[in-house]
Amino acid sequence: MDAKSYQQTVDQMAPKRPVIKNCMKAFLTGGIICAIGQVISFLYMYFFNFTERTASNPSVATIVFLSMLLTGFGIYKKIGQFGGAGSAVPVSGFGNAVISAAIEHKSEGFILGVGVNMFKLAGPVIVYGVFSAFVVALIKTILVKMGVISW
Amino acid sequence: MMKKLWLMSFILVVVAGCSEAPKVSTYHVDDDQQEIETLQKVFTDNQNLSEAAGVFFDHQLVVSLQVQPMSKFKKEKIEKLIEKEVKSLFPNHDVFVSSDLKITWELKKIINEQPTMDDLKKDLADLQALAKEET
Repeated sequence: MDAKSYQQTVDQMAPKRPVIKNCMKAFLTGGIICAIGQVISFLYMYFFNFTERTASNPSVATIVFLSMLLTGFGIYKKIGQFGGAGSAVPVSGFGNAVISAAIEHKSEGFILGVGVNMFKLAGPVIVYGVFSAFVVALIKTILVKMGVISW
Repeated sequence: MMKKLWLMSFILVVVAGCSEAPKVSTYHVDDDQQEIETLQKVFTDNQNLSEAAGVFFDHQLVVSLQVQPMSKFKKEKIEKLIEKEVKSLFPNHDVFVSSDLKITWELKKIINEQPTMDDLKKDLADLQALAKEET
């Protein structure tokens, strides 16, 4: 049996993935997380001196903190099972990635276990996030200096 | 029956969310009706606005705008356009325009409270400082 026919057999035998249903679930979960984020943002604006632009920073931090708590209590796992990418793509997925890795490697000790593995999954997000922000800022600075756009 | 109900509520929500004249609120310390009407006309003529507020105070004009949901992508462009228009209509005023929701809330609060001259001066200065806040 060559690779192609093997793949065909696998495709025939494997249960069909409910793609549309999964998409709907992800959309719903991601949408609810974003709606909660929007409410938190409004709360910061209403009760504190944050504007629409500055409220995003504490809102992101709050969402990450909440998702970290939910991961610790084992609730975010259930949300992830239901929502799939809808729970991973918003910033709450970042908190989940950090804490779930920390919990998983706790048995290996706090330094070599938790400390080393905590940012195993979230590390690349930080590295490439910082790097891409640097590149975008560099391009914008050059364009501003050239007079193409303004800050 | 249920399907029809869903469809009806969906259409109602969509229709209610668009094509409504902007809610305009203004306050002029010297109660100059002509200036108020000129400013109100700028707001009502712009189809992209959903809400607008303006406060005149001692050659200062603070304006806040909220755009229609579908126009949010060109919010800054609309803000600059309105700023240009208002500046040309009120050349003797120090014009400040913001499309931030917090500024709209605060400005509406000022309009409702109609504070004394000293308080208003302080409130407007605080508002402008808040709008310029970056972090």
